[in-house]
Amino acid sequence: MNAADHLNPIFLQALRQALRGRMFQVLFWITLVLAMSFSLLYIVIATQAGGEPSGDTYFIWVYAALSFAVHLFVPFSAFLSLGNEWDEDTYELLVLSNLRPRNIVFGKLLSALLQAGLWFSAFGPFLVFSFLMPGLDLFTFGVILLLTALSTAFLTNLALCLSATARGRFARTFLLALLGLFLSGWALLAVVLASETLEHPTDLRSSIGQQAIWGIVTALVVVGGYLFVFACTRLAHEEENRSTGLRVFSSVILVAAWWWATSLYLAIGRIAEVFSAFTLMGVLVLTVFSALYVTEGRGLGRRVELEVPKSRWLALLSTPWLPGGGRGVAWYWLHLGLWLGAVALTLRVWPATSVTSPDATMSRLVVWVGVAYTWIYMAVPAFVFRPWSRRLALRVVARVAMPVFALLSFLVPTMVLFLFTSGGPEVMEHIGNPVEVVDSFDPTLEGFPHRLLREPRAWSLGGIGLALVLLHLPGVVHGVREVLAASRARRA
Amino acid sequence: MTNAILEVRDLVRTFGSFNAVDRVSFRVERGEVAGFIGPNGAGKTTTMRIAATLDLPDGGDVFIDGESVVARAREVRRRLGFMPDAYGAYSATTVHDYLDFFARAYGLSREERRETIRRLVDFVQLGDLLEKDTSELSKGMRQRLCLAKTLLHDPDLMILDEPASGLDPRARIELRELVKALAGMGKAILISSHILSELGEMCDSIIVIERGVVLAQGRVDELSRGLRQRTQLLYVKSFGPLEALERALLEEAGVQATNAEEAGLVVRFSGDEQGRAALLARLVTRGVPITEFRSDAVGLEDVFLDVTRGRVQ
Repeated sequence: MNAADHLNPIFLQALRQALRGRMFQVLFWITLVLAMSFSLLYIVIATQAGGEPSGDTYFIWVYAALSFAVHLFVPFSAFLSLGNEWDEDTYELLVLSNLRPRNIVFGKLLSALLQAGLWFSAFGPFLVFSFLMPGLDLFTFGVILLLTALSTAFLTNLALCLSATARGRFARTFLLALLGLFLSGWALLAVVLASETLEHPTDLRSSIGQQAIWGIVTALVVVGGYLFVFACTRLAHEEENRSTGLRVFSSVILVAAWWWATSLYLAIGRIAEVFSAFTLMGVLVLTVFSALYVTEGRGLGRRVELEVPKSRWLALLSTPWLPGGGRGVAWYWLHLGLWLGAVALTLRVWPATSVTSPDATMSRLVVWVGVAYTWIYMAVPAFVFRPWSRRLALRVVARVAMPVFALLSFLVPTMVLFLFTSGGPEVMEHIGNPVEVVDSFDPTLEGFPHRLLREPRAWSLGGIGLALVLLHLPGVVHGVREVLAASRARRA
Repeated sequence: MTNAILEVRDLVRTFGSFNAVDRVSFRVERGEVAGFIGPNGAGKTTTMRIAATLDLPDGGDVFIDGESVVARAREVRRRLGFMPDAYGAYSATTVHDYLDFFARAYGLSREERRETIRRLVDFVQLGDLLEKDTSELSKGMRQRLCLAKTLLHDPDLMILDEPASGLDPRARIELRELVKALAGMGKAILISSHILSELGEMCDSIIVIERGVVLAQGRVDELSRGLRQRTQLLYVKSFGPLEALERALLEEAGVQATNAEEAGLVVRFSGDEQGRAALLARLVTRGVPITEFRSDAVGLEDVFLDVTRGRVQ
């Protein structure tokens, strides 16, 4: 076998199909003609105005065409390419040929990125021309193109994820329309941001500018990676293990997030409020991940049972990463504990400089209240919908119910009180509204958290949270027992 | 050591409260061509999809060459070729690129791909169409292309789900010849079809399934012989209205059912040679103007009707 034999077959097939397809050929030439026309038009306008053409303005004209090509056409074509596997009845043939879901998604992604590469190379002469003109520096030019390439990869992952999720023709048409709108908006936003960046090129070199670039790069890579893994799991059969990959990736993201938050906390001078904000963001991200896992159906499934480690202890350790709603709750509890533990450890090793200020105490309060509310908003719908969790449609309903439940618990008591009482600012003060609950605590309180424990609202919140822990406990125990039984069966 | 390449054992698959497959068990031996027969919704496709690792059973298992489709799906896929009833072909892709793509997916090297594709396009008679776009192929050609794709990794077992569905008569004849050729190559084949007369010519054995339950299985000749011992098929024609002949026949003892065919009636009659002679004598005595009265050969359709009598909806 030579090296070419090891190329991802999906990559070759998707690329062959795309380049031979009419859509790519037509769009490619139209976009190039547009870029050429823009160039000529700009040079004519700049010359007639009597000034010298400037590189940054010309770059934006050309970049507008490139942005639509790589931010709209490339992800759109990836969405259609994966969707065609169902439309053309070829998906099962891929499964039968032993291609794994990750081979399929990776092949589609590579093919889309190579098409993006073709667009970049086609626009190369225009971009080089703009760089040779005065007004454009290499650093800004490079950063814009690097972020453009990364966002293309991110959007392609998003498109593949959506396409893998929606197999029905109606759902796919709906998502295609939504994706088209989103991608158009993104392409336009990229042009605006590029224009802003070129107007203030020194901002990019500042400390905050550099942090912002790294933040954007990290977010695009991490979220894009998660979308990639998500797309892979959606392609697997429903009774296969569609969860472990996502759970492991989520764990890695949380470790990376802790590392990133700690670095930033140390870099900007150990401000407690900033770290608390990162902590709360981590809890929110953790809850978003967990919303997928706690709503999964019970039961391991016959193929997953065969993947459970034979060793009792390894099986026990792997439990939170194995599929199933009960084990999803275990994953959440474990990671919440690890996250808060890591935060506490960080603050002990590198104490915050403003830790004794009232604001710092307040921010810790916000974290605790945030943890309580995110758990309650997630745990109630997960518990209510658990009997129907084997049905995909109801799992989706349970996931949608979480933000809806959060929103309703903010708004409904307020509206009821507003309609049936004299109304006034006090109607906002109810247990369902976390903002008002936080505000109701004395911001100057001392001896946190001892004082917090004397607050009736804290007891109410804690009581609800604990009751939900007890309600979910049998599911978690069942989940652990299932894994141990599977492990025992494998040993036997 | 068992000689079965495919063994379905107590297979159960439910969709909600509907039992699509209910404790189905059967075997297909190496080199055997087995017909899988049943009306729409009987559970044929569900069973075949589970055997092909595309679906998972709720109970029981399927073993391909001793490997469980539940536990070792990837190993099983290397040993079987499955042709679903809806076989896909990529648009904007030539016949050669289509086969080359799947050959790569099966991990064939460049030399192996070249040789295998050449051999298979000759086998399915698509050699002149290698550079043709798959979207320009007729249904019969696409079906042959999919068959070639199914053979790329030289599987020992082929599972063909309704391969003749939607094909014109010529394409059906070509398919039948291809299946016979595959059987000649020693491949075990499980094939489902509605066209029983064609299956009868191809199959060594049959499995009859209805409402998720296997009603009968065995070699075609044994099942036919068994049917002949219990029942005879007679072809009766009379000079006069067909309805009158049917009435007269159904009044006779041993006549179970009649079915109009050409200008006469095919009659299911339980009785031996003497009984048949007595039936003819009684009809003549009663003044029924018989013009033709002969024993009809027992075919796969008759076996199917006999097995599913009173049960097929």
